[in-house]
Amino acid sequence: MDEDLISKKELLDLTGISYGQLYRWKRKRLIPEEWFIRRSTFTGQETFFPRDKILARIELIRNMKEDLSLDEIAHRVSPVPDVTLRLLDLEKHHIVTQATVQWCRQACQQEVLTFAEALALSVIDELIRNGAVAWPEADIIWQTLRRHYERFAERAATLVFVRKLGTSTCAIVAARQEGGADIEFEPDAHVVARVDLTAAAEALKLRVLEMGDAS
Amino acid sequence: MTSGRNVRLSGWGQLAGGAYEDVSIDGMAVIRGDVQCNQLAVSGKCHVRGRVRAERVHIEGKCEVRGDVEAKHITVSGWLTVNGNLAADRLEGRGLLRVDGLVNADDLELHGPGRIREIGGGRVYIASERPRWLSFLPGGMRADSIEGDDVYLRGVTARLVRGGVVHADSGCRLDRVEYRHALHRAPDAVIREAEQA
Repeated sequence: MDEDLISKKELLDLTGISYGQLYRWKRKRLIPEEWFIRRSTFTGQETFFPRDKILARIELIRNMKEDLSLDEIAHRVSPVPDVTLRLLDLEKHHIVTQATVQWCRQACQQEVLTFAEALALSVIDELIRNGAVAWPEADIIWQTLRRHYERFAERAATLVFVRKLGTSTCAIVAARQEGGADIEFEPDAHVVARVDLTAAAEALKLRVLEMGDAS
Repeated sequence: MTSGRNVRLSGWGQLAGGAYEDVSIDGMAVIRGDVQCNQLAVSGKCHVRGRVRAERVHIEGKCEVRGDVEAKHITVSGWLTVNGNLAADRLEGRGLLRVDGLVNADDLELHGPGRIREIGGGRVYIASERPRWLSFLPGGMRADSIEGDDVYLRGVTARLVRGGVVHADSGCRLDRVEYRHALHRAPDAVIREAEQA
């Protein structure tokens, strides 16, 4: 709640960007809607931003602006890139292992994935490889992420996988601040895995972009 | 973004939301959800119960949109009401414009009256005065806040105006103006406080 905020006026003074640029970047979704925080002050309503995030984002936009169009930048900074990915490509570029690709073909019967679905696959891939979950449990993760990930994309979120007396389940937990999910379970339930979704999505995004550049 | 078909509605009709190529409405129509299209042209009366996303929006009649409107180029010579936000690269208005949220445009030129909660963009040009013989009618443009790099206002009532260069011409009633470079004011423009910030 009390994260460090910066007012719009201070932001413009500090960075030297204009109102036009700020509104244009908002319109093109280079700056997420959630970062525009309205607070009332003695002069009326005023807009504030999360200081570190907005300053980093403006720096990023300025660096990319040299050789990318605004739409391309929007595509890169978007937490859920509007892309469709082919299973074939994910396999070819070693983003997920062949075994996971095969599981997806059989269990989900899909060749083309959204970003959230690809993220689910990469999480499944990681958890299978380190032995935390077994194949029959993969579907739980797949269903959870493909349906609900988008809603959590802007926030720090963690996937928590729990097992109790032989049955398993998982949940997405959003953290108010960075540093992981704050959640506890009854003593009999074992938290088998916690996956930092923000980091996983970031990593996947980079690899997908590299893939796009290579092809 | 263009997928689907052309729709031309004249008379009275309803249209499901979805993706279209060009939508043109001559009569009276209800669009029952979000529309995404290349061009939306309304010369009759239209009620959209969702959002509008288009390359071009052209309103000559009366149009009411429950959600947001987003387009590259919007022209209004009729009457447009938007319950959400309105975003465009270029917005030209000669009719009546009412927006409950934010109007965000790179280049905005409005000549009619209206009520807009917030306006933000690069060039903001609003000339909204009535002829003197009509001055007994309620009118003009009212906004809560207006922000832009190059702001020209005539016949505008606003609580807060912020800009690089601000021109406040006749008929303006502004509670507070914050400008970076310059403020030009007509003798009969009412500005309660102005500050170079």
